[in-house]
Amino acid sequence: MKLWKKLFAQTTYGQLTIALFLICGVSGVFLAIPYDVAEPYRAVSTMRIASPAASLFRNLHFWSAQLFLIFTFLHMWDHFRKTEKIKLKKGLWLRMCLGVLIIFLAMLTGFLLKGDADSRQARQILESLTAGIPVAGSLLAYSLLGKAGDYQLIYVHHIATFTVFIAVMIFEHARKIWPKWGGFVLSLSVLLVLSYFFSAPLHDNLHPTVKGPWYFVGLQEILHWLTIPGLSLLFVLLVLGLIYLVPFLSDRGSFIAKRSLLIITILYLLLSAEGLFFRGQNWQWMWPGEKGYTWSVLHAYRMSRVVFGPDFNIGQVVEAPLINGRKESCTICHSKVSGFTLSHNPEALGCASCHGGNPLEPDKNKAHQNMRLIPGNLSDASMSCGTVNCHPEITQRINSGLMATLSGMISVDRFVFNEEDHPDVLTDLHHLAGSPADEHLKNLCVRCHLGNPKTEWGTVGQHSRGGGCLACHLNYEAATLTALLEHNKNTNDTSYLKLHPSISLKVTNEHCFGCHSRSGRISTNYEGWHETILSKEEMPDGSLYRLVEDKRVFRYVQDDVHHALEMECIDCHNSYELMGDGKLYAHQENQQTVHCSDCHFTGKPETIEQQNLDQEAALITGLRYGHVTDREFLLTAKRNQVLINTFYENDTAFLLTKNKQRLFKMKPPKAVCSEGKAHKDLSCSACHTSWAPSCFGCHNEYDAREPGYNMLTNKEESGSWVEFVGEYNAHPPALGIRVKENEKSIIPVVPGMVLTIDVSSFTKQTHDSLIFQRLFAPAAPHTTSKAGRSCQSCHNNPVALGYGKGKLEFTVKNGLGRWTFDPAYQNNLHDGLPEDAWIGFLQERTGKVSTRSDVRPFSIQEQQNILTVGACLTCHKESSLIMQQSLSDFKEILRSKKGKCALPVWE
Amino acid sequence: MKENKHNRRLFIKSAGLGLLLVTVFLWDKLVGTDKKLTARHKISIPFNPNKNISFQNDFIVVNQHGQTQVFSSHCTHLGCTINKSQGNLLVCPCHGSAFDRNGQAVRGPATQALKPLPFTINKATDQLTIEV
Repeated sequence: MKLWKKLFAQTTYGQLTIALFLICGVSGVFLAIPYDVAEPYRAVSTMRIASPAASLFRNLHFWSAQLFLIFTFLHMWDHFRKTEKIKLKKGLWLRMCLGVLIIFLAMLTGFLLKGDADSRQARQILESLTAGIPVAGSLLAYSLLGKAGDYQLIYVHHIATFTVFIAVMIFEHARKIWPKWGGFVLSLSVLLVLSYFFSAPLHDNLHPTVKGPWYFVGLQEILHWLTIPGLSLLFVLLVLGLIYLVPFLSDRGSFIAKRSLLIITILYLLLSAEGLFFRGQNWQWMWPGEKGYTWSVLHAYRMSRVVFGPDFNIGQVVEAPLINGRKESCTICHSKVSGFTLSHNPEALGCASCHGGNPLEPDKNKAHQNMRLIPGNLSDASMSCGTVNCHPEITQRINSGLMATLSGMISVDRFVFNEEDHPDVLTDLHHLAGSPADEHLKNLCVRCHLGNPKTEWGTVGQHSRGGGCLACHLNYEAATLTALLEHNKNTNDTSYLKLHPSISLKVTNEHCFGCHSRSGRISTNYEGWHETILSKEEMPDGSLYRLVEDKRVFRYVQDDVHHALEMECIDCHNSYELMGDGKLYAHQENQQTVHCSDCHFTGKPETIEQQNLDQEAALITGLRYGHVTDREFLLTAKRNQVLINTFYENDTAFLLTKNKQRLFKMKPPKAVCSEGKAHKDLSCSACHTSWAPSCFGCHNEYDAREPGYNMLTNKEESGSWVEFVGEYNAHPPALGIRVKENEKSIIPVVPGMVLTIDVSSFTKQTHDSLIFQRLFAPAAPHTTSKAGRSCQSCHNNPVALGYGKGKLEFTVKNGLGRWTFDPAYQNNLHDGLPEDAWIGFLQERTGKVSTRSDVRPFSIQEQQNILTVGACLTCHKESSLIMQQSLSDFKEILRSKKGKCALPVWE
Repeated sequence: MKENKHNRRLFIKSAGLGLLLVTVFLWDKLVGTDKKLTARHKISIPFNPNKNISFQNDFIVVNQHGQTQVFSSHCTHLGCTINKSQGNLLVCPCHGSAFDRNGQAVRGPATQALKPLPFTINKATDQLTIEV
């Protein structure tokens, strides 16, 4: 007890300050041994990773300096709070006041000597502020910091100029340089504990948030609000002036000065706390708990303990590559890992830039803390794929793309549930609430979006949904997959750690299959497969049927002509279509830019030279095709987006497939496509779609007892919307009209939403009636055939006209022709139309008819026009001269028709 | 005696002031010469016209609408190095100032435009040379 009493009796603030200064100086000498003024960041990071002793001395140096600053102020305050005056000569007091500034400079130069991202920006600020001092600013700045990027002068000032000044100042006013042993022992004990448990900060140069040292964060906050930063120097001058004046003012004046200093100190500490805990990336305000708060604001406080037994040896550290100017503990342990593409080589990127964790930790567990085992999910893409030097622009814009927002899917579903007035409302799946439609979406639809996280290792396949960047760019080589499967069987098998899946531009059809084999089913359509309602057990043998992994049975119909040529999805679709272009779109056809006519054209196309490509297109072109400098690439007519796998040479356009590198000469459309005026409004797909899947008659109701699944949260729940399927068909699609800015276009349509919904089953409100909808949707079936539809396929086909299946017959009686239609399906009780129809025979439907505001069925007049030609086709072959002439001027053909020709009469 | 003492003090003060002035003069010369000796006047990098924005240590190369511009990468507020873009904006990581792709300040605290730097492009060698 006596010893402790004696110990504490010696511990005045002044004594502690001297002891801390001494420890700081001595630890600094030891720290100078591994420190390298030429490569400070490499030196300091290597100390942290590979040299526990150096790390401990660095921590000791850091903590003694911080406490020295704090105790200097406590010592000063201790004198200020006493009523008796400080009896020091003016000259000495002036030097001591100046000493406060010197202490800050000594601390700040120490901060700069880390050479990390924080330090480099702090250096710029200090240089800028110093250079802003009138008259001598430039001279002082250069004399303080030296040449750009050079640390020699800063180091000299830190260890000599400022340190000597402080030592002299201490001696001059305290008349001693050696602390009493009690204060020294106490200081050293506390410092050793602090230094062992809390390492001095070091920025990993990955996080975008940069902050100054804690004692300057308040100033950083002040500077944030000052458009003339030089004014902050007046603040510093004010504080120093007040300190200087305290001993020489009257009692009243001295009291006011001290109180002012106290208030300034409290306000400054509050500002510092604000800067430290509420400022994130780009100094933007962030509340604790806000998304990304820990990552953006608190990353600087990962001050773990010193590890005396690193999980690797010095030889491994020496061999490890330098990444971002430093050694990364990840690559020390995980060396010789293969499987990467050149652009994601860990010798250049390291591991932490994708996987997070703490690359400056020598301890395995600490290094793995906050690690992203599966980086690339949209929730963390900005911290991995989208970090500063990688793909920040893409991770910003991808969230506005339709594959992330699902805007069209959501607004159409709400429209169908009568919750929206039109189906084109811009929305986002993060805005889903608890309405019947929203719950319906959560139960049945919204699993397919890029924001749905990938949570398990393995390939992207038929079961995959979402996965952010990985959804398209992840690939496993056979050996990598085998190693992973072995690990799944036997967790002790760690060979998978040496084989990494690749992140590349090799986006295959399999990547798209998981989501796009549903709803419109373009993935399976493209390959020629049509989904049936057969179960696995009912599936007939033979190559005409296919069972996919989720047990759905498909029947072969006819594949797309582009699939037959081994073209893949990405051979048509470009990065701006797939990852968005930063704008919000209501439906896929709005976001889509590529059209058939961009490749199949006559005349000279719009092109762009290689040197004029945008950054993304140039990068992709380089990665796919190497250094091509003399190519002219085709541009899409819509939004002028480059098709990087095309080129125009000697008046000929070529397509070079992206993955398989197959070269095709592009073919112009047949003459018939643009012949005459008759079909000028016909879209390419209206004619060249060989078939489209259609389903109708499904019923939706909510079953509170059904085990459900919330696709938004990926959690099971009780109660779910249930869908009872109707009938699936595959045949040439119906046709409809899109009217856009007074331009008409005839397009393929399918029964998008011909269904019933029992809303009351969800709301339990008896006044909520059963909803019946008969809405057709524009379709891009991806079943393109080389040959277009025959004339009869449209003009004499009840399905094409929107009547549904049935017998459409033209009969002539007494010289008068009449069209009749006998539907194959019964009339629906709700609207009296056949189940599969869009419109009644020679009837008109307006209002709520389609899943788009700009799409409608044929009017009566249009039906009559089509059927009039159909009447001709009952006698005249489509290859006949008269029918060919009719393409140019059908009215003239009608005027010159012969007597035996019977045209339809309309009642 | 008093006069002598006064003269001696005056002499010492004058000599001290003179020495200080000479020191400052030499200090200024030393710094000025060192700056000239060590300054890099020209920096050459490979020119990539496809890259919309390219961040280097001390400058930013912006290619847009078929034109190239080079700006100092130091924020006009306090000199922090701008090393990232957000959408169409160049954003300072220290205090959040933002500049458009023409270097104009669009969000404070910075109020002045980024400093444009003179440069030349050698198309034969595909080199962009910046005069810093």
